[in-house]
Amino acid sequence: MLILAAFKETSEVIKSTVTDELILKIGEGDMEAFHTLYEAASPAVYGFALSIIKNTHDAQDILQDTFLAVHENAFGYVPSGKPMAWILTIAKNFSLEKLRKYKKEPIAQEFVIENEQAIDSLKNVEEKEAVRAMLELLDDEEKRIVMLHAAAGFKNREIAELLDMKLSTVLSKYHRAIKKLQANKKGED
Amino acid sequence: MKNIEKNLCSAAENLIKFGTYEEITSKIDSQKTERKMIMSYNEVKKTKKKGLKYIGLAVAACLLLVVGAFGGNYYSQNFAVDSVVNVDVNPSIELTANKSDKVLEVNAINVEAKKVVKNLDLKGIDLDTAVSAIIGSCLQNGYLKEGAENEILISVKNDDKAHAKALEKNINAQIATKLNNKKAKATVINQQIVEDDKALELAQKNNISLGRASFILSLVEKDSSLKPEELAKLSIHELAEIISQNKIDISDFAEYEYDENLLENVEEIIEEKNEDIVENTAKPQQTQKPEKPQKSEKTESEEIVASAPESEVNVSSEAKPSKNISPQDAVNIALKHAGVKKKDAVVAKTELDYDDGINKFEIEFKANNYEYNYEIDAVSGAVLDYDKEYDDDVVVEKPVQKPETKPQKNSVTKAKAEEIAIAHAKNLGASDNVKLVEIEKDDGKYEIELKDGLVEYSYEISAKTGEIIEYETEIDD
Repeated sequence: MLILAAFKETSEVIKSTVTDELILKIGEGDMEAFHTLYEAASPAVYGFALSIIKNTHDAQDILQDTFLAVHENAFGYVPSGKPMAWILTIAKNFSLEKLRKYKKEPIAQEFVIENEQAIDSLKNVEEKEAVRAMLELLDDEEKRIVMLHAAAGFKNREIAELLDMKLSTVLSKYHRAIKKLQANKKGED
Repeated sequence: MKNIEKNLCSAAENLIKFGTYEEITSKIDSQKTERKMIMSYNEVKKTKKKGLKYIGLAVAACLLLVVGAFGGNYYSQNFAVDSVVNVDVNPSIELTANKSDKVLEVNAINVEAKKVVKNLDLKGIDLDTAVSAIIGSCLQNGYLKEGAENEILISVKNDDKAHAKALEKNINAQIATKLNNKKAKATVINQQIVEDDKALELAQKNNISLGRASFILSLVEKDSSLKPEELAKLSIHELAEIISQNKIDISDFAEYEYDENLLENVEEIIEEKNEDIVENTAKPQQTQKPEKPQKSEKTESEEIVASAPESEVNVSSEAKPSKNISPQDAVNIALKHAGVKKKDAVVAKTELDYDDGINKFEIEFKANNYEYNYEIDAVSGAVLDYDKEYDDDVVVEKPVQKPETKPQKNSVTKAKAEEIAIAHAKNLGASDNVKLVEIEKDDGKYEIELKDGLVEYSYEISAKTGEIIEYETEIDD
């Protein structure tokens, strides 16, 4: 299942699976629908959260909190044609809330270590390098834009809407970010 | 999709801990069980029959023990009421939340409120998000109107003052975002709830929230010509009208900023704020010639840019109170006083403030290497205060003159905008196969995405003039 999924474009999988109907089903208590949603959307939620909160421990918490919240609120979900944006907005709110806390207190050492270890334990070297590059080379907005592209298959316009940015800003930042990442890759090869 | 993105995607997938889904579902299950027990506990509490009462207490005690077994801390963290927030427009809604600011209960106090919360499931979500959902529903149900004056009363109760303030800020920010997404405006009035018997009585008698009752009583204290029972029937908008007509000073128990600037759309302000925070340059803008009060040129509000994250973000309504001069007039007065020509000036801020009992415009502009600050009385136009400083900041560039076409009509159709984009793209090398991917009109601009093979073209085209504001190309491999 996992291997097959990797060959299909992320955006296609998400767009065909994560629909308004799926959310409404979850709202009716359909746990199979909830599982389907989790399979399709968890990388997007996790990746996006990671791009904001920048450590795996918190990203993991946000992933759980987001899906719990989705489950809680699916009943009241108003069909909008943009269910993924709804889900990622929830993730965004949780992530930003955590980020606000970090303005007052520094991040726990254990989280920093856990983050290092988690990334280190990725078996695929290219994946490992990609995540490290994303975390180290990009600025805050670039991280989010790139992750939304990569893990959620969002288009620039959808990203602009979710992050409340101008389309042109998203574009130029995305451009810059990709350049940075590709330059880094070339440097490593 | 680029290789690196594929790697990021699978990395995200593989970083997720094994067994996460099971953890999530088991939390869902235990939440259900907790809720059932708490609900039964509450029902038992309400039992009034004497005999049952004692049994009830015993059962309650047992339930409490069981709840305690899950960790008393869990209970107090998650189910004890920490904050109470009232949202009043016409609808009167009371929200209670726990220590983590997650909604515990939603109480629709009047008929309008019941309508508004009917399809909302707000339990367990963040307070400020819940308020935002309520505002959205108010818009949908017509209690808040696009293009009209709207007033919202937000009353917060939390023993921890700092927490109450933080909640206010977050809620205001959420409201501002929500309204700006829906292109509506409102003045948000903030107050902290004070619980006293008079307010409680007024609230219960008239089916309004405690916050609204408390607000009304404070008004009556300031103006004895007003009667609480009559005020209780009015919407917040109507109360706001009375406040302004009777010139009541509410600044000692409530906060709001009647912020009028030349910019019509808050969205533009927020966009500019984002850009500025990112790019860290002041963006020079022109003031609008006072032809018609709508669709003015962009004027940057540094005040909002600088203070939005910290202070209350109060979105203003468009119409002016009848006795004030217009912001454009105030700017002209300031410029004249300073002896500065309009074309040499770059106006950074025009804000209407209610301070010390009078309405005044605060105007900031830069010209000829100086920075000027003016306070102009909003009614008489008198210069109340002024200041001139040598400006040793980055040299301000003269704004580019935009062609002054009829600013009201959006004379460019979708089709025309598409044409313009395609023509430009072809000039850049796009083939005849270039296709339209998306076109959307937003805030006086068309946002267009084209694709030709692997190349993506993105355009922002003015809906008024058809000029290309920005464009970008990227290769999507």
